[in-house]
Amino acid sequence: MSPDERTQLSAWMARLADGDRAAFDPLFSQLWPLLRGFSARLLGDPAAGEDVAQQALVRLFARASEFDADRDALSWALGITSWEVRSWRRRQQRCREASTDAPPERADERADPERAAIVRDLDRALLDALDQLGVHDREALFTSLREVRELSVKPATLRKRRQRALDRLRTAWRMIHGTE
Amino acid sequence: MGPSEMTALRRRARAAYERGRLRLALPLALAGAAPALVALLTWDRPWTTAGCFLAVYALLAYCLWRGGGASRGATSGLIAGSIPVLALAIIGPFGHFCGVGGVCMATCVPVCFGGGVAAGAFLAWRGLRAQQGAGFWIAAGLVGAATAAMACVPVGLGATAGLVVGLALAAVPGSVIAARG
Repeated sequence: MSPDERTQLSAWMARLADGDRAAFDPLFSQLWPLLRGFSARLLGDPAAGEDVAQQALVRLFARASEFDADRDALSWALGITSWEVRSWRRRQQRCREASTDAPPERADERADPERAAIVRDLDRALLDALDQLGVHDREALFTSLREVRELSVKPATLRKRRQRALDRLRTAWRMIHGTE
Repeated sequence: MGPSEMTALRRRARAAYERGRLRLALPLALAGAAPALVALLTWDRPWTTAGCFLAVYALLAYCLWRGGGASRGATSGLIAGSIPVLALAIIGPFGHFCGVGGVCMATCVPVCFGGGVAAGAFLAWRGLRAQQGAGFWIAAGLVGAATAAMACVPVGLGATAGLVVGLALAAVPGSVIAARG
């Protein structure tokens, strides 16, 4: 960009900052290829560069009224664009980290009939074992499973009841299935 | 990027620009609360002051959003309109003054007239110095009159008329000179 074009760009930006809407179109036409090229060079990817340049351009026009007429418009515009590039890189980094941190997806039980049958057998066995328990033990287990807070019972009492119910459930399981 | 996408981007950028201007204008227009507070303390007429303040706020917000001469005119109008408000806050409590021969009159009407002249002179000075266009004079006149009205409307019709005449006497010649110049 020649020094004359650069001065012209600053003049347009100053006019737009002052509220002269006639400066919008020439400024848009001048800035778009500049920002697109700049962000594409920084990112090394023309498609990503175009996306980032669009965000930068919208951000730049949103802040156009804050432009100080004594400043150089090109430096100001490129400053906003490089900030957008940095933000884009941070977002990409976070996405990559999130995808590596995420636990592996659970296998679809419907797609695996053998696994589904095992789950069904275990559910039935657990229900048989639960049938061996008293009403209070079952209540204590369901309460802790659903994280229901019984206001009439102290938390320590609830913990003791749950522990006793679990011990009896293990005993019932051993009696029926002969294993832990 | 195709022409339709380009048009969409241009529209988004333009909307962002207008939103940015509005975001800047709305809080700045609250400056109109300063003379409103003085007028409220002077006259204790909350509804009249609130009405005038709303008019000043709306005018200021619009002019600051619009930008250019209107924005500069609105700012000058707010300063100019504050002159009668402050003058009445200082002189108003004296109630009336008595001249030669025992003739007495209320201070408010002459203060509104004098304040209007001072405000108009200030606007003429600001407008002529920077060679402002019609937008400046219209915005300055409207905001100046609405601001000064916060103090002069509670006094009565005479004071309001005095204010408008004073303002026009000083500001109209300035705007005419600027238009010819």
